[in-house]
Amino acid sequence: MPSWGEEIRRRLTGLRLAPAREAEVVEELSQHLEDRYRELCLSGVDEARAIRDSLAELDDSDLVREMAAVERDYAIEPLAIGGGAPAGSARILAGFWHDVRFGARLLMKDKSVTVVVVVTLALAIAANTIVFGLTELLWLRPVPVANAQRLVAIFASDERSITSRDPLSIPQYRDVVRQAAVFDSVAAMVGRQFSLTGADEPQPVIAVLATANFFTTLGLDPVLGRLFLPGEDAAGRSNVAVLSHRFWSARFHADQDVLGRTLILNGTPHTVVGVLTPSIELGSLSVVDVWIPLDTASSTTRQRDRDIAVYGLLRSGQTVVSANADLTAITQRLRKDYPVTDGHLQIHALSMRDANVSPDTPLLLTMAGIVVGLVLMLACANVGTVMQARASARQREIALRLALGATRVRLVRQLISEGAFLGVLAGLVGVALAAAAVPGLRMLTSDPYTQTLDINGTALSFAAVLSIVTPILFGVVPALQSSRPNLNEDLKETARIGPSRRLHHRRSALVVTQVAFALTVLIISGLVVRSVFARGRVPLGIASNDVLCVRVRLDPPKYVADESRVRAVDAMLARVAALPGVDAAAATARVPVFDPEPQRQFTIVGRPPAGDVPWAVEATMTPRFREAMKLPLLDGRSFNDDDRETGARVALISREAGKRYWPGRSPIGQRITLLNGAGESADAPITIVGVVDDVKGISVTEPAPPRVYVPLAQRVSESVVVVVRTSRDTSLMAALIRSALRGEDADLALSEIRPLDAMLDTRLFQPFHLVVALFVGFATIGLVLALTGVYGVAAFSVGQRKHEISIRLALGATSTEVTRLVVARSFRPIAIGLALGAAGGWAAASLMRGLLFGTTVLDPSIYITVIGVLAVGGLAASLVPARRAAAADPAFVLKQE
Amino acid sequence: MQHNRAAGLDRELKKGSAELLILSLLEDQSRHGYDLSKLIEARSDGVLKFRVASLYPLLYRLEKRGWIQGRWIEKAGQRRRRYYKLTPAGAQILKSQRSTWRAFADAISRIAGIDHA
Repeated sequence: MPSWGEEIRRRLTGLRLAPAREAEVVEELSQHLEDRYRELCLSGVDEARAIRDSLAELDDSDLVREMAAVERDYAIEPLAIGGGAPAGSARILAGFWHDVRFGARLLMKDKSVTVVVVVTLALAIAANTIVFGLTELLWLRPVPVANAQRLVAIFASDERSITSRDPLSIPQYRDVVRQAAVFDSVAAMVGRQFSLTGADEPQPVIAVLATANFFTTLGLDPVLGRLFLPGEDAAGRSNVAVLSHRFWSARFHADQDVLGRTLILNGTPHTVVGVLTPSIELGSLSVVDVWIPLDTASSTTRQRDRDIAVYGLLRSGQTVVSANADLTAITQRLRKDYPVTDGHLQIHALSMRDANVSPDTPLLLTMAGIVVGLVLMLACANVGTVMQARASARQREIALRLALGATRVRLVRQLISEGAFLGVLAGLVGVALAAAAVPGLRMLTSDPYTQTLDINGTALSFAAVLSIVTPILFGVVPALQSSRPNLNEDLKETARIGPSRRLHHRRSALVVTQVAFALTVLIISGLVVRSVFARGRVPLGIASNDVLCVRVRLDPPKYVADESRVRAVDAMLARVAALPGVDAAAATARVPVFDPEPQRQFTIVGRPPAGDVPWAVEATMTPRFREAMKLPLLDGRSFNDDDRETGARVALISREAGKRYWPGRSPIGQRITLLNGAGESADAPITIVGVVDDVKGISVTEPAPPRVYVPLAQRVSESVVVVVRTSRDTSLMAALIRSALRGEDADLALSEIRPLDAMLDTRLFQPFHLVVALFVGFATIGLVLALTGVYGVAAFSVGQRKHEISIRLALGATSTEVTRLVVARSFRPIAIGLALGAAGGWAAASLMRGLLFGTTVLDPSIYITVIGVLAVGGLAASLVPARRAAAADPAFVLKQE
Repeated sequence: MQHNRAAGLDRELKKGSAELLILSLLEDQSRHGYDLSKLIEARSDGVLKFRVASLYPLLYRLEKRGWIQGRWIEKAGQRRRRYYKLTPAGAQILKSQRSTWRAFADAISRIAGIDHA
């Protein structure tokens, strides 16, 4: 008897049927031929004839054509039972598509399961994509200058300083330029506010003064004209200006003829020679209006004017490490040469990547990464539970298929294809969620650079990788497990009264994992959020509510002598104080907490120098400043109108300064001499007349620094901040104050008038709005996933044990007993998960010790709260299915079985 | 004569009316392909014959149209076989085709005076 199948398959070759369909057609047609052959044989026909006649059934020139017409788009019956994967790449691919289509159809049938799985994974993918996007933007993306790879930022640090990234002074910059061997060039810049006059109303502009080699060091190009020429930063040659692209577009409407125009900056004319590329307009550089040359030859004050940012271009072959070795050697020499001013100096270099973010940012991003990583694992565990529940429901089907000869590879491939389908779907939804969240997140930050956050190609690739990896995390393991079932056990499953011990352990492990991961996420998020809120509760030492601030510039040529500036300030304050609704009007050089303030060293008259030179933050104030800021006087007297430039030189000090330098005694009447930048006592001694309460410095997480206040009249500067306490509506008052100031001098360059509250919020808290939003979001997702996960496992496990529970109920167990039994079974894995999670939280919190403020690694209130929430939530989640099981009618359930 | 008539009828059937035959045979019960071919041959006293090459494409076409439905069924001690049954849509079609066919057959007998009883 011939092989009918082969004969038929040969004739159908041209049709290129899908393997499963071909197998089906061949089987059906073979049977027909077989029947025909047997019948012919039985009727006495000889075998040769019987074969010939049977095969003649296939002889029809129309067979292939007819079949082709019919078979086009033929819907294949799902998954033929048994058989291995067909050979040949085309068939493997066809098999793959078949699997995906079959999986998709199966999942669409189970819509609620699919929605749960996709939403769960999508949330985790969205959270990960957002954190990746932030990390890429803030930390990984190179700065947009040509020499980014060889560029380092050079900072000074001082062991007594509150930050470790202080700028340098110009003499220190000159020392680095002269002595460093590792750099091709070293450039410096400093930002200043200027008043631009000449056209309409005087306008404050942000100028950056930069050395002539600044643009070549960074590798920046002009879009119009030229940048600075070598030597153009020398005194007398520096009257040129380069416009920022933004300023050129806004103020000059991108006019090509701007070259050669004159800008009057602080009364000095500057000729526009070029326009800088817009690529540099990021972060703080995005507000720069104009670039002018920085003369580094003349300044001699080593300490007072430490405000320039320095960049070095590494010679080829040099690294940040070798640069730091070189800078340490230079520092040693400077400490020896200038013991008073540079005795505690350390100059060091950071790569541009590290310099561009605050020191906390990499750690914060790492913690965010850990948190979203855990959320992803949590989501995978959740989905794993769902998939396992489905796999268990199909256990008998799978066992049957294996028994009938289906290969493991074939089954695993089927399960993985289902996972891949879910992963891709979740990836798409996740990216959409992340893209939808980004505009909201951008609104939460005031940092112009962070506001450029976007789901770009890199973030999309990351999301794509996650979509592929997550199905492997949650799909392959259950797939491998369910494809290696114990056939005997699984086929007999219904005969038993409960799930196997193996299944029970696997499920408990899932609950342990979910609870542990969720607790770790909650602890990290709780500590981060608590740290941020603790910053908000720090007493600053000043009352910022109902206070308006406006910065005023008293620049040449109108204001040259200190006397003219003091007179102008007095007159302005008199006008403002006369406005209705003004409670107090005062002036200072810098707004405490908001502005960086200079530190001054001083000597105490009558006390021989011993050890470290005393230092304090130097601040200035007019008599009513204390009243405007509600700064309490603790001892002595405050400044009054007699403390003028011609009067006796007096000072107030802060409580911290008194405690530090006059411990156990009153500093009133003591005299100090402020030292100049070179460490010499140039000024006349100052008498301390009073002590005021502490006020924080620029970093609110550090203790309040010692402060020395001198009367503004005795140390006036070109830039003064007018501070007004008012009991009236601040927006109305702002207009009145502006016109009062303009009434004194119509050409005055004024900044925007802003409430101090808002200014401090921008500086102190707004950077953390995004952090709080992210961590609260992650913690919420983590909690919801964990609770739904525990619920899912409990419900599944109750479902599997309904037979057992019914027997218990039928034998007289009360529903309370059954509920207790089910909840008790969930309790053990939840408790283990909580213990592991607390340990994980502690380990993660130890990593971020540097970020914590106002809380500790083992903050009991955080641990107790989140453990309580998770324990109660977890037990409640297992209670729901337990009660449902206890309420079931045992007779009905047992009959169903 | 009978042979010529049968050959003509055979062609006619295969051209436009084979579908009617299959649907009629599935009206009462499900049948597999070989069963169908045998029935057609037996009920027409061997006049009508469907070969594999024409029968199965026809079955698949009817199935694709949703008039019949094939299912693999295993019976004790036998290989599994694909049985076809009439779907409600197929039943509807059968009804309308039947009346069309009756009208056609009536017309032929009136014109040719054939007694087709």
